[in-house]
Amino acid sequence: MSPPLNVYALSDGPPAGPVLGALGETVRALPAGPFFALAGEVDQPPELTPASVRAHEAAVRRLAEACAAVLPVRFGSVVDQVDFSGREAELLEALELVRGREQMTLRVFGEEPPLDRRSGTAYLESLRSSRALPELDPLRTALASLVRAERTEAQKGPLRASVYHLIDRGSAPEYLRAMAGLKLAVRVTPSGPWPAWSFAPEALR
Amino acid sequence: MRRREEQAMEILEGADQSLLDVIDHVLNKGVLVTGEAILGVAGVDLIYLRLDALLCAADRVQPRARKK
Repeated sequence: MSPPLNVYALSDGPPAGPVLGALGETVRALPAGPFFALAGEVDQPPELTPASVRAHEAAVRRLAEACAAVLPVRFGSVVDQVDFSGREAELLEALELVRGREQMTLRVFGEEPPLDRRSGTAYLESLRSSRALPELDPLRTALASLVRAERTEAQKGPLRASVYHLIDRGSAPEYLRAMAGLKLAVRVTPSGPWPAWSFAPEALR
Repeated sequence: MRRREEQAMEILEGADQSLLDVIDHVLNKGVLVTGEAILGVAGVDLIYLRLDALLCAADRVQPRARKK
């Protein structure tokens, strides 16, 4: 019986060269239908520690640099064999979306505006309007030439939303410069570039 | 159980924003792989719960089915 596999990412081609996994092992490109599972052989699942989480992210980052398109795989995906059957279409579509691209993450802080509770329709409309984050429209305009796709996640509390932007690789400095001079009605903190974590199919459901 | 709770709390106590961003991406996003045996990682669900308080991502905390 072969050792368990710690899967880091999914691609449609092998890395351009050798890549090290989170434990310093050489990542293997294992054919799985039209895909390659990029995985390292491990003795047991990784311990959940800050260092192991960072190491997983770093391994995915190395793979993203060595492949034209990768879909990151969630931490702790340790399996005996990989099976993507039945998901080929959505995974191929996602790989095309992220090809040659990377992710910027924005945390949007501030209170959600009061919702209109005079009727059910008014409530839903005000909720829809709020969730669209119109306060970010100046930012969207400034970044329009750089952003290839946007995902938003409404959240609660001081963190009102997370916004994920897919941009062309190498354009993060330009993205950050475009943000730098903006005056917005909400506080926004950027981070990145990241591999395209938030554009993997599971996250889109 | 005590050990799992400690493990989950230790990873987040004192975590800076960059670590929270890493945790949000690495544990909360990405493709879920299916296979014959997903061994799982102890404490991940507790991390989700605690991360909720820190990142205020209440809408992402859901009961998660686990394959043994």
